[in-house]
Parts: sequence; C-alpha cells; structure tokens
Amino acid sequence: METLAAIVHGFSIALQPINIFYTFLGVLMGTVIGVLPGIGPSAAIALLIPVTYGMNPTSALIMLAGIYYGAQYGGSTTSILINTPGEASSVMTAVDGYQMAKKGRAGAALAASAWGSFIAGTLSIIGLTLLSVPLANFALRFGPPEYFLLMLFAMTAVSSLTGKSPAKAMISTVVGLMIATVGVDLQSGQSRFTFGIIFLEDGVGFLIIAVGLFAISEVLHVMAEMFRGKVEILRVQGALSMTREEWRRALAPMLRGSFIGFFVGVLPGAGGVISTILSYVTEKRLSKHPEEFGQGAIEGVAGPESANNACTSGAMVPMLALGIPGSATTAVLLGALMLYGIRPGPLLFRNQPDLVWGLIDSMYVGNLMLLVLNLPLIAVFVRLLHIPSGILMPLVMALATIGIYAINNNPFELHLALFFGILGYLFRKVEIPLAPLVLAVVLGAPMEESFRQSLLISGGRISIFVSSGVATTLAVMSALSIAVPLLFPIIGKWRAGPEDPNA
Amino acid sequence: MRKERFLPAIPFALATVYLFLTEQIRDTGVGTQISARTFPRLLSVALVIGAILWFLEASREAKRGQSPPQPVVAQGGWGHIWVIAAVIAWTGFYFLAFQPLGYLLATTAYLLPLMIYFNRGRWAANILTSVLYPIGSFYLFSHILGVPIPNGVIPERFFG
Repeated sequence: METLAAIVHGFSIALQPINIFYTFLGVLMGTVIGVLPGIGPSAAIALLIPVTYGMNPTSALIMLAGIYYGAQYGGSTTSILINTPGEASSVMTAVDGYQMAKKGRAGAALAASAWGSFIAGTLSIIGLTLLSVPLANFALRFGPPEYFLLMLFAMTAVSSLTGKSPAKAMISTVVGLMIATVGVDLQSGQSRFTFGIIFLEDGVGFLIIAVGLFAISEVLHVMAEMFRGKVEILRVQGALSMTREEWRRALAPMLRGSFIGFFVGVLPGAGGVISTILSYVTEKRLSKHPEEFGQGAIEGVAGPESANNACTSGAMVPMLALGIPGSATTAVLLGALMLYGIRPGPLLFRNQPDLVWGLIDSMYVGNLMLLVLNLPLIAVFVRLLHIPSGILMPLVMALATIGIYAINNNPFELHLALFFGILGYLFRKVEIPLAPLVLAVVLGAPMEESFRQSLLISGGRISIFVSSGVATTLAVMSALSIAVPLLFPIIGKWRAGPEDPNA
Repeated sequence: MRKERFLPAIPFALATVYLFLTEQIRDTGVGTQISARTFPRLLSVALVIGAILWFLEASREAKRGQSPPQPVVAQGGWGHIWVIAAVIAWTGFYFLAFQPLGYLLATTAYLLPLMIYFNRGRWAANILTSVLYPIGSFYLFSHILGVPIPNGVIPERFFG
C-alpha cells in the first residue's frame, strides 16, 4: 500500500511541466544519439552531467535516463537503414532489419522496432516498479562484508560476461580499481599514487574518466574508421506500420523479448547485446520458418528490439535498489547521482522517494513520448545520418572540452581526460572492454571501504566473508563468475576429445 | 600472433610499478594490519594473475591457429595510427591553448584543420561550422546555462 502511494506520488513529480519537458528533452537527445553512429549514451550522459549541475537532481536524472532508453530506440534506425548499429545493442536488429529494408519493407521494420520498444519498455518499467522495493528492503540487512561481496560479484559478473576474453575483462576491472585508489586515503590520511600532483589529492574525477573513455576515445575510434569509406543509406520505403499478418507474427516475439531483456538486464554485465542475441536465438528456434531468419524475418527485428529496450529498465533495478550498476551506462548514471550528492543504495527509496519514483514514473511518460516521436519523425531522424562524421566528431571533441572544463575550470583535467581518451582507444584496439573499468572506478572506493571495515570488525580474519548465508552465497557466485568462463574452453576441449595431429 | 603474446607484459609491468608505488606509501602504524597498502597490494596480485591468464589465452589461441591479434585487424588495423596520433597531439595543443586563447579562438583554430582534413572538399560548410559552432555553443553554455568558459584574449566587453 505504501509502495502504491509512492508510485502515485511519483507520477505527481513526473507529470510536473518542468519534468515533462526534461523527459522530452532526454528522449529526444537519446533518439538523436542512438541514430548517430559512434556516439553512445554513456558518452552523451557523461558530457551532459556538468550542464546539469545547477538543475534539480530529480529533473537532471529524468533527463539523463531519457537519453539512456531513448538511445535504444534510435539505435535501430541505423541498423535497419544502413546496416550499421547506432548502439552495440542494436547489432541483431541489423541482421533482419536491413534485409527487410532492402526488400522495400523498411517502414514495417521501423514500425516493428518502435512498437516492440514501446511494449517492452512499458512492461519492463512495470517489472522495475515491482522488483526494486523488495530488493532494496532485502539489501537493508547487508553489512560491510555483504556489500563488499556484492560489489565483487557485480565486477566479476561484468568481467565474465563482457567481451570475448575473461582475462582482458579482469585486467580492465583491476585497472579501474587501481585508478579508484588514486588520491588521499580517507582512513589513514595518506596520499596514494598522486605523484605529488595536488589536483590528484581528491582522486581522479569520475566524469573526467567517463568523458575520456567514452567520448574522446569514441571520437578517435570513429576518426580512424572514417578511412573505410562511405555507407549507403537506404530510403524508408513502405508505410510506417505493420500489416495484420506482421502484427500476428511480431507480437509474441515482442512479449518474449521483453521478458528476456528485463531479466538479462537485471544481471550485472549481461546487458543489451546478450539479451538481443538470446532473444534472436529464441525466436529462430521457436519459428516455424527458421530459414527466413537472416533474410528479413520480422520476428528477428521485433524480438531483439524489445529485448534491448527491456534491458535498460532491468539494468536500473540493481542500480536503484542496491547502488550497484550493471552496465557502463548505469555506472555513469550512478556516478551522476553521487556527483549530485546523493548516496545510492537501498536507503534511496526511503530517503529520496521523490527522486526514485519520479524517475521511474517518468520512464512510462518517456516511453509514450518515444513512440509518438519516433514513428512520425523518422524521416527527420534519418536526415541526421547525412551529417558528415568529419564535421560531427570534431564538434563532439569541442563539446567534451566544455564538459570537462565546466567541472572545476582546471586545464589539467583536460589533459587527464585526453590521457583516458587515449587509454580507451588503445583498449578498444586490443579488445579490452571498457565497461568493467568504468564500473570498477565507480565502485572502487566504496568497495575498498567495505573491505577494510569488514576486516577491522573481524580483527583481520578473512572468515568474515563467509560469516552469513548471504555473504557465503555471494562469495560462491563471485568465485563461479571467475572460474566458469576460464574453465569453459578446457571443458570444451575435454569434451571434444584429443586433437588429431594430422588435422 | 607474437604481438598478442607480448601484450600481457604491459599489465605485468604496470602491476610491478603499482606494487613498488604501493610500498612507498607511508605506513602510519595506527590500528591493525589493515593499512592504506592492503587493498592496493591485492590489486597488484590480481593484475599479475590477469596478465598471466591473458598470456595463456593468447598462447592457446596461437596454438589452435586462431590469431588473437584479430581485434587489431577487425578494428581497422594500425594503418591510420599516425593520423590518430596527429589528432591526439592537435587536441593536446588545443587544451594547452584553451585558457590563454579563450574558448572562441582556440576552438575555431582547433576545428577548422580537423574538418578540412576529415571532411575534404566542403570548404564552405567547414569554415561556417568551425566559426559558428564556437559562437553558438559559447552563448548557449556561458549565457544561458551559466557554464564558466574562458574568454581568453578577447576582451570581456565583446561578450555583452
């Protein structure tokens, strides 16, 4: 009953004219960012955080979250029309969406994507509404050891599920944790890894890292990719709607995609890409015409597009209820919360109900706006694809400069961001995933704090990390997240039998 | 293939340097054995383990004949690395000039050569964008959003 009252109260916040405006602004920017290849929601949110400093935190978060889920809508447009996903999570949409467009059914593909996104978005927000409070209440019982292990599990899960190589993901996580140790140690007052640079005494600002790793490195990456030549943009042919037959074929994949996307999103690290692959594979297995997949099957667009949208709300569950982000974008959102002076975690629902419920309820509004925006305005968004990257990328770099400078008016931080931009570019080159690093930077300080508090409580005994049922479960899950991906190749080799030396 | 097997040496070296720097942190000797060094020490060990696992992965892939350096090829290769290095250097100069020259001048000077190179042949669009974008964004951020942006050498009176 109390929760129901909070939900209703949340609507009174979300429906305030100023918040409706910020929801609209967020989803509009998100769609644009989703359409533009190369600029992801993480980069966009990181760039805009300094601009939101003067804003009410609820309105700011509503806008930033709008960018996050709005980008999932926009990402499908480029997948369908130029066979290039605007976002990584739209990769599977390109497989059948582009084929549909080539056959003159781009309108139907875009409609399936928009309706799928709307249905999945709405269903998953209901899931977020229902699941967050019980999870937050459960987490209220956590002490320092449980928190340490929860953060450890989030990091190991992200490491094992991101990218192709568990070792590279592990390196990314540890480097992130190392960056988080820079600055004055609050418990002993000792400077660590500051090299005598006074600006590093407070640590490396999260925004500097996020802008460097996502925005600057993306610009460098896109600039390198520009040498590959131009892509052909297909015209939007056919009405922006589905026929009755297409609706019949697409509805069940949309519902299944919503379910898959939401629950995959809740898991740390699993994220949009995995949910879309799972949805695509599921639809192909269940289809009576699996041979049509890859040739322009509408189920191949409806399912994955629903999954990637549902995933965004799913990823919000651990972020809001536990203060543990499960993806790079939710890590940036969590970083924004911290910068506004709000302590994320299970108490957020008690201490900041306006913010949490205003944000969740604004997502219902935002989803409706996206549906209304996307179908009639698709032609306008397609025009964005004609903006040359040679103009766009330098402008993003200039915008990143303002964003970083606005934090502390400190030119040193510009150079620091450039350093992280180069680091991010090199990581991309050798396929070291960036998401574990960002997650580790966000969680590094509280993780070390919980670790040290646990050991102080126990007088240095490590057994405190298996002292309760929750702690033991989390410890086992963390160990499995590390071990399983490493053991997979060995088990696979063992099952395949001895190799033929002559093969 | 050899490159990928060589790369794990970098995190290994980083772990060594990090551990060396960890040992330089002054131990206050207050409280228990849990000091400012404890957590960083564990991180050094974790990075060494990560480097070893990467090396083993790369070696295993190399034995199977699948080249792990695929990422380098898959992501466009290193062929344009000099152009990217030049962009990085140019951006470094832009950041150096940002405060003394001011946002308007520094940004225009930064954008124009980049656009000329990456958006070849469209002179009018490049010149217009690199002049109008800094002016427009300056007024948006400085006057409307209240974000402090350096004026540099341009006197204050020009900004109203």
